[in-house]
Amino acid sequence: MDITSDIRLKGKAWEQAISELSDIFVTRTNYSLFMLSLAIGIMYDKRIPSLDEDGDENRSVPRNVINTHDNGKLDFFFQAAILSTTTEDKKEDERLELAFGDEKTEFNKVNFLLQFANYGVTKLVELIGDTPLETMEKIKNFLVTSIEGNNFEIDELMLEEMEISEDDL
Amino acid sequence: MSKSSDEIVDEMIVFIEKEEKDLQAAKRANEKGTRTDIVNRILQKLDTEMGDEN
Amino acid sequence: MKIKTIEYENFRNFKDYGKIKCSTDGRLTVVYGKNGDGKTTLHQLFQWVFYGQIKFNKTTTDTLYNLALNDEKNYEDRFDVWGRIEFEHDGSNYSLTRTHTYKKGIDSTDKISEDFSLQKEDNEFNWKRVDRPNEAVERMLPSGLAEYFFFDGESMIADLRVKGRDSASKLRKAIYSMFDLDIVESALGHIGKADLKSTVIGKLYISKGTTVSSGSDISSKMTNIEMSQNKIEKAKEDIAKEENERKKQKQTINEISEKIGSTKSKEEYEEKRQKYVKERDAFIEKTKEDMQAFGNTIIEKYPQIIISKVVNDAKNKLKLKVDSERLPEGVNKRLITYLSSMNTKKCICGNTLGVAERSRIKRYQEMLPPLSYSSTYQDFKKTVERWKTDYDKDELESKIRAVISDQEFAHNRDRDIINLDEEEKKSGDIEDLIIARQEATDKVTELDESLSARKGLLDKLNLFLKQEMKKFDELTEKNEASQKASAKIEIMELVAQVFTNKLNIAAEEYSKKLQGTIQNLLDVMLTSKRKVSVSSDFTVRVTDSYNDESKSEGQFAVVSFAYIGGILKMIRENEDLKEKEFPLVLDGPFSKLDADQRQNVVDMLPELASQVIVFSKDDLHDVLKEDYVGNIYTITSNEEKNIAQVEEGKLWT
Repeated sequence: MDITSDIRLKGKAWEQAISELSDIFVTRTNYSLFMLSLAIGIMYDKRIPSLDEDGDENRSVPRNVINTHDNGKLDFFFQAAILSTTTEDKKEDERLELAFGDEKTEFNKVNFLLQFANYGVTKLVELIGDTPLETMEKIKNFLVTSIEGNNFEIDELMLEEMEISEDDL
Repeated sequence: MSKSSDEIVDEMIVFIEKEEKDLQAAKRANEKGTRTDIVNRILQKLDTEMGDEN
Repeated sequence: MKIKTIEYENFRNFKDYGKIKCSTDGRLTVVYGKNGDGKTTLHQLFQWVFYGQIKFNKTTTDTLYNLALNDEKNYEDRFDVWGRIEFEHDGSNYSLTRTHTYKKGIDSTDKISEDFSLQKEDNEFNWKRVDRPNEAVERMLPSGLAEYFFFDGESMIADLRVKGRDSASKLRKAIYSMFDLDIVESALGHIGKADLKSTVIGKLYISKGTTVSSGSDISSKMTNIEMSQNKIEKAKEDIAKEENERKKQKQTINEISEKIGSTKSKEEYEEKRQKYVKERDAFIEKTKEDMQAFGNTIIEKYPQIIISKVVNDAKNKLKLKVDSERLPEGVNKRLITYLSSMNTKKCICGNTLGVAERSRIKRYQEMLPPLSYSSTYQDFKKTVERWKTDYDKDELESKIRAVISDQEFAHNRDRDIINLDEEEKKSGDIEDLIIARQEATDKVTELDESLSARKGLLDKLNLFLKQEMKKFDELTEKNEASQKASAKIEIMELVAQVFTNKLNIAAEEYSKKLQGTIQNLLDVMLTSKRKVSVSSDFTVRVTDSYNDESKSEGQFAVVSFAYIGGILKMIRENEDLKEKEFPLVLDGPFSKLDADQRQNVVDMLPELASQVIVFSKDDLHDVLKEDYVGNIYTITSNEEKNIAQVEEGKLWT
């Protein structure tokens, strides 16, 4: 993916996440939170086009950080997203083309990913507790239940989606 | 009839011991019992024993 | 008597209602409590309920009610301080309650009334009030022996260290009252001497001049005698007052010296504090680092792990054809190109490449870009699959635990700093202490001078009195009144002699008896040979084989146990008291004993009394025999040490 500009993180949720979680995610905070939120958003398979307009704060993921530290992860995440999402009404060929094909396309990949991240950060913000320790505990539990498959929210969503996808395909 | 010294001494001893015991009991029950009372009583007893009614 | 229960509410630092059930089956009741938590207070509670008397340590207040409770009360509120002891005596059950009622005023809270009641249970289990409860209690548990039924081992040790004068005089008083010798002493006081005007002999003496007219020589001598006797009495009072003051000042000097000795210098305090601050800050740093380590681990691994799961689960959501088309393992573009070339006749596995085979190979070719993304997709899946293996739940949990432990350590160190600062505040400046001590020392010097002067005056007065008495004797020698008086004086002096002999013989007898009993007990309890001697004024001395006096606290501790043991044994052997059973409520200095001594002392406890209740600030469970352990309680206190309570069981580990 060719990142030509910083990824703007607009919205109260981003503001809150960055200010409250910067003690835990110290290294390249904005990038780290973006990647985590992105993964969460893709896991839930939900997108939010744009969070509410916020104040004057300028939060973004600097493009040089991505270019230096990302090592192609963003591409992989995009591939995973485009190949698994039900939020986009595309046929298999198109998905494969977008995933593995040429860079040159009209499709705004960055914006696509940002929307997942917007959803993800709202989930992340729910995990903020009264103390950093509480937050850490909640994050851990969230991750464990999501990965081990006890996250009922996701299971429900998946069931819903399965019904939709049966009809669509 | 005059008693011998020994008899008088014995009488006084018995008397004083009783007086003192009563005084102690009275003290414990928080009743008043002054020293002069007992001293005077001893003196009186002594007078009686020695046959001197002055 | 056997004490069954003791209840209380609002008694000094025991703010809320509490109850202790004592073992009455011969087992030991233990109340554990640290110094400052209220152990001594609870020990004193027993004496307060029975006798209304309580000894206060100089460093504490002398209010009976709980200060925190008083703070909660409003102006004009009334509240009670009360204690109740239920006991059995001579086959009957009794309930003894003492209540003090207080009223909160504007500036102070004052006691407005008191109540003391004793109730006895009759045969029909009804409680009936007993008349004259003080006398009844006195008969059951003589107050003269209260020191020994409610024995405070710690203060005994303190006293032994200063020659044991206090305990000697207390013991003398107790023994005298036990054997009615105090009556004899009092009698001697009343009989008196010629120069003591308000005594029998004193009055008889002065009566030698009664039949004489005033203005005569004799009467002037009488006047002089009375006058000097008055002055002597006053002088003695003044001297006693100043000597008391001097004693207090000396005590203050000792206390301050101890404080100075134990006060850490400012330097030490600073050093320690710095160390603590450094450690605390290091752990605060470490907490941050561990938190970051947690964060880093998550970011490094978890977005990918999540994506891995997504890709895996995706096949349930979107049925991608590409998922089911599979290139066999090891089949790649190069191989396919080679095999599909017309020049290749045989497959690498050895089979001939016929039509069927070639058509299959063609299908594989179709899976490759640019014709198809199947193979790319498979590669993608493989990569993503590998990410899953990074998942390690324990890794995250252990990082959280690290943060918790760091935080705890930092918090504890913080508390240590706070405690250190508080201690420092309390201990005050050494300089202030030194000044205070100097002031006390100066006062002592002043008092010494004044006392010396007063004693000088007293000597002069005594001399003068003697002089006048001699002249008076000479002048009244031939009087009839004088003759009569002299005869009476003689009788009284004989009486006094009888009494004095009685006292001396008894003092000798009982002190020697006590000495024997204490020595026996000491021989059992101590591991080294020590000789105890009890003088006829009941001073206790302990010496080693070189006749050097003991100085060790540990030995004094053992002696204090032997002491109470000896006294209780003597009490049991007393004619009047031997039928009675007395409890022993003991605040024991167990910490000052070494392991062997502790075992010996504890083994001996059952012999001291039929009911033993022990207060201890040291864990005794390693030396107590299982079948001797009865009810156990522990005193716990809040941090400010102004609210305490008693809980069942041994709460120390």
